[in-house]
Amino acid sequence: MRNDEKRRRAKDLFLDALEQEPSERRRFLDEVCGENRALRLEIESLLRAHSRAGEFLKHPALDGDPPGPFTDIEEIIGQRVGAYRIVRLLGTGGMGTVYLGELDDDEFSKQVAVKLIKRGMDTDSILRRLRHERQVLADLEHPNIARLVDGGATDDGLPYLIMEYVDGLPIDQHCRDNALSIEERLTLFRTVCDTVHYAHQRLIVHRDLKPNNILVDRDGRVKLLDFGIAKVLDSESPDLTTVDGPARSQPLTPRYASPEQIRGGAITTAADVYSLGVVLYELLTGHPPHDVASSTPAEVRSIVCERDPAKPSIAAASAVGGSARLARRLSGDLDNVILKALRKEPGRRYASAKQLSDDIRRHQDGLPIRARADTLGYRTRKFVRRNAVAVGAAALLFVAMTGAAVVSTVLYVQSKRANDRAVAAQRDAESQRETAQEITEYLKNMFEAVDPDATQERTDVTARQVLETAAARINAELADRPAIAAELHHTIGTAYKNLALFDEALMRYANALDIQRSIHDGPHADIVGCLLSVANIHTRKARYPEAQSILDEALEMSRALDDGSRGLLARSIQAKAKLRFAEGVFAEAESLYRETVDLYRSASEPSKYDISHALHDLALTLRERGDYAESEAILRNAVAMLREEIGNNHTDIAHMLNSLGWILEASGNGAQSVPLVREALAIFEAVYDDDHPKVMMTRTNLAMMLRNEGQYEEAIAFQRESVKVWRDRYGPDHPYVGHALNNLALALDESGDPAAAVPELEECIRIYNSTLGEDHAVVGIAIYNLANALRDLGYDEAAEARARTSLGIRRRALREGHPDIARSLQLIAELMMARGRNEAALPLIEEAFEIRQAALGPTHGFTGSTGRSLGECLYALGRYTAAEPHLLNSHALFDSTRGPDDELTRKAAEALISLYDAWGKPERAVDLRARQPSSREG
Amino acid sequence: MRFSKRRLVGERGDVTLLLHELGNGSESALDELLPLVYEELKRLAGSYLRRERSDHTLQSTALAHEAYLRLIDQRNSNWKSRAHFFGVAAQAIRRILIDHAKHHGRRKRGGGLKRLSLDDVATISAGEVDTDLLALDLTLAKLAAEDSESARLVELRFFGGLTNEEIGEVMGVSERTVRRHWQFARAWLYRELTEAPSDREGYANAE
Repeated sequence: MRNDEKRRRAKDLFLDALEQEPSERRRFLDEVCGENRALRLEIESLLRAHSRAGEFLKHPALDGDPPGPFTDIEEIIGQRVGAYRIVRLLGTGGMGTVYLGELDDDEFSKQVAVKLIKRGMDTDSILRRLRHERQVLADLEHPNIARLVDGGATDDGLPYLIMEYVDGLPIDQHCRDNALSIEERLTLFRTVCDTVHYAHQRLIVHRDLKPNNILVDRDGRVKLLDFGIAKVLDSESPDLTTVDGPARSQPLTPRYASPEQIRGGAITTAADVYSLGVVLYELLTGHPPHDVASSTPAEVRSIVCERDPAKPSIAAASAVGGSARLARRLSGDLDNVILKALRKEPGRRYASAKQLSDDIRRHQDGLPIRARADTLGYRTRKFVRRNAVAVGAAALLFVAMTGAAVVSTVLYVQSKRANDRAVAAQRDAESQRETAQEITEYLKNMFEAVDPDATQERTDVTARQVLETAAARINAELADRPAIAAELHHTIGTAYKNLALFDEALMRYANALDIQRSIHDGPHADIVGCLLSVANIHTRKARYPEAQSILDEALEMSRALDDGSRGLLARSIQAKAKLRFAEGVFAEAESLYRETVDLYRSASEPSKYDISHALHDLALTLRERGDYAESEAILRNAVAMLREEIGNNHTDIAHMLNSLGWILEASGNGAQSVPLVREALAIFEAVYDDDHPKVMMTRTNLAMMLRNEGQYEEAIAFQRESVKVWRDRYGPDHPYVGHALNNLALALDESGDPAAAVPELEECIRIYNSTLGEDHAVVGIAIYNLANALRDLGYDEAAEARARTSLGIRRRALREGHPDIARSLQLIAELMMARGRNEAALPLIEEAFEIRQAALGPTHGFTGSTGRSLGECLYALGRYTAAEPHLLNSHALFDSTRGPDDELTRKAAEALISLYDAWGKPERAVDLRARQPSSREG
Repeated sequence: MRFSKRRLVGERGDVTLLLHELGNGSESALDELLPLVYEELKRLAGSYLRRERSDHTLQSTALAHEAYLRLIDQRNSNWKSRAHFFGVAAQAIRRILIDHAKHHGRRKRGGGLKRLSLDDVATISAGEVDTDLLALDLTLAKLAAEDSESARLVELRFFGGLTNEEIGEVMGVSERTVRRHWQFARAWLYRELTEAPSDREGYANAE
């Protein structure tokens, strides 16, 4: 055996012998050494040295602290502390070591936890605070709180605390080991909250809540440890504060500590609410909101105090082995509840642990939660969507184009704000230049962080990843430059919005808004700017109640701020008009747009750009109102005005030309509209890539118009290309893909191939359902179109069922009286009439007619079409007198707007002729017969 | 003991970088790092010694921490590199103390140590007997020849003031392993310093 092997064997046996009871060691050595006397001598000499070594080397060579007892965990076993004998080690922590103790008395065998405070802490001040807190803590009698039994100092001056011993597992381990469901975890966690609340009511803050202090015993009962202890141990000992700052003097666990604890700020019950939020986050996702395990104190501070945690649902989904089901379960309420508990500002968290508990209970009971009230990002799943936009498939295009209009308007607003900044820069050039430099530098760093050449890492960085990285870094790095941070959040938000990532956009905008609110005490233009951005996102996502409440605030603020310059107020009213338009409340939208135009015109420095865009929006509204003549006139005026400003070949001009074509198409002048849209497309194509949203939308419009001219093949090819490009650009499930599929289906249906339209519509509906939910207005459109395709295929019953589904969706999604509701009503009624169920159809078609008259006016083509169906229904029921005026009106309307040869005019005439024949008054039909081409031929 | 200044490093980033290299197992990084840390610690300890900082007690961890704050770019460091730094500092402190003991001669002092000046630490308490640092240094070198891990651990804990947990981090072993090494090293050193030399040589050379 080689020497070093012998040494190793001697060392191992020595250490093994140490673990034997002293009385057993001799026998142990007999056994392992056998006849090897040298080995035995070696081990015995080491054992002897061990027992004699005492304090030898126990304290570092340079050690300012006086040596104390119990420095080695093993040594204290069997010793007495107070009235208790130490039995075994339970655990060690930052502030000391916890042992299991037993009453040193034969009659009782009461077990306690003995916490020995480690050497180096200020014994005097701990004892002082302990005396002060002891009574308070002793009064803390609650079945879920482990009681403080006693406290004091050992003979050697080491402070100790005696606490009720709890034989249990940390709550996280308990949940894991027993594979508790989310429901069970929530219920268990509520007990924790209620217990914390009990202590809070007695003005005792825990200060160090974490799973290791929240045990669950064998009976499943929650027990909170160390309540109020942290305060007792909160030492200002200079030994601990010299090098590391005050944070080190407090017993805290960075992973669970609130920002104010990390900063060394005032600690209130809100700190416990935050820690509860961290614990709940971990219990539900399996991950901490912030990973600070390998961070320096400076990093911890920056992360905890400045970085927004990922939504729990996102954390759950993105983790290794993440679960989409869990993510869905957490998404929404639970995200909001946890994030509200985790707010950086104590005042924005739940006001109490009880409120947190109550909100969880409400969630479990399916009731609305509190957390939504002051959260901009609250999802509207629980709101009934009363109002929405869109008139049939044609409206989809319009929705899309309105979206584009919003984009350009916001971009302009930003450039205007940049101008405002430039003006301010003249006043304060130096500081502004610094700010600009900082932003430049910041952006540069930001892009380098995702530049594969710079990082030498994966190269498939998407725009989205750049933005995510940027957003995360803003919070971490620009906390002390709030103005810049807000500006960048807003810019990133707009970029997200342009990528159609509305939730992310909303988060950035809301972040910018929060910061602007914290910068400015009262109303401020920058706050209004953020409010408008947030509201516009809600509008686009069809979350109208939220948009409304935010706009209310924006309007109030801009009125308060308006100094006669009008610009801010005009922008706010314009945003409200957009909302009304989206909701389908066109009358109010019109008057709001008119007000906007007037305000821009009366501004101290009128901008033709602003005025022309407001006129554009007004024109689109008038088109929807059915007032095509004025709509066209106003838009032509706007185009002329904008041309003076920016010339001919500008994308904003193209945008308006496209809209003009759209208006002409609606008023039956499709032939005129095609060249306008082609011109718009040419301008866009010169500036943008082939798959830019504006190029795509304009192509789509062109395709829809060609469809109307009967050029189905070209239309279908366009729509197929469009579907492909949207898919490539935004992924297979984006609503825009759904829009394109819907339009493709329409072209197919009208080209005489309804069978091909059906699968496209089914895919479209699937996409809408997965991204927009089942009750969005566009789902109503697609299902309505599906019903029409089925009707064309002769499946009347299936068609009627779909039509009824679309009606249900529209009644839920749209305001009462929206023209789209009339579409579904009319389709159902016509399907019933086709099978002779006129009696049942009548109330439906009557309602449809009332809606259209009220919403669109008596002279709109849609009103005429519904009037004709109403007339036919009345006629079929033998109510000739009631039927006649409807049929006459609808015929006159089509005759004057579309001419005598239009299909609609002829159908109305045919219905009238049949009526008069049945009525026995054929003489009234003489003129009509004479004008009917078919009757001339036949 | 003196180090040749093979490289002048003024930038925090360089020390931080060396530390990372050390963490990745680079031996040459230690050679470059040690003189830097040594100089800094010596300078700091000197200011204590000259009573410039009489309000503070001299503590290995505090000293090392201060050097750490001065030398290391905090933004690019983490707990791991911090532990490695303390490992290097332990070695530097050992050399500073030994240099100092050689310079000032041996002084013996009984009983527990309370407030220490640099002069005081030339002697350490060893329970019933007093042992001087120079003897410990020599014995530690012998231990290193037999069991380098245990010797390294003594350096980290006794000279560096590291906790078992930190030592585990530096040496890449569990706390339990640290505890076992420590028990052995302490017993072994104590025996070497107190028992007659013949005893142990007799064993070492037997068989």
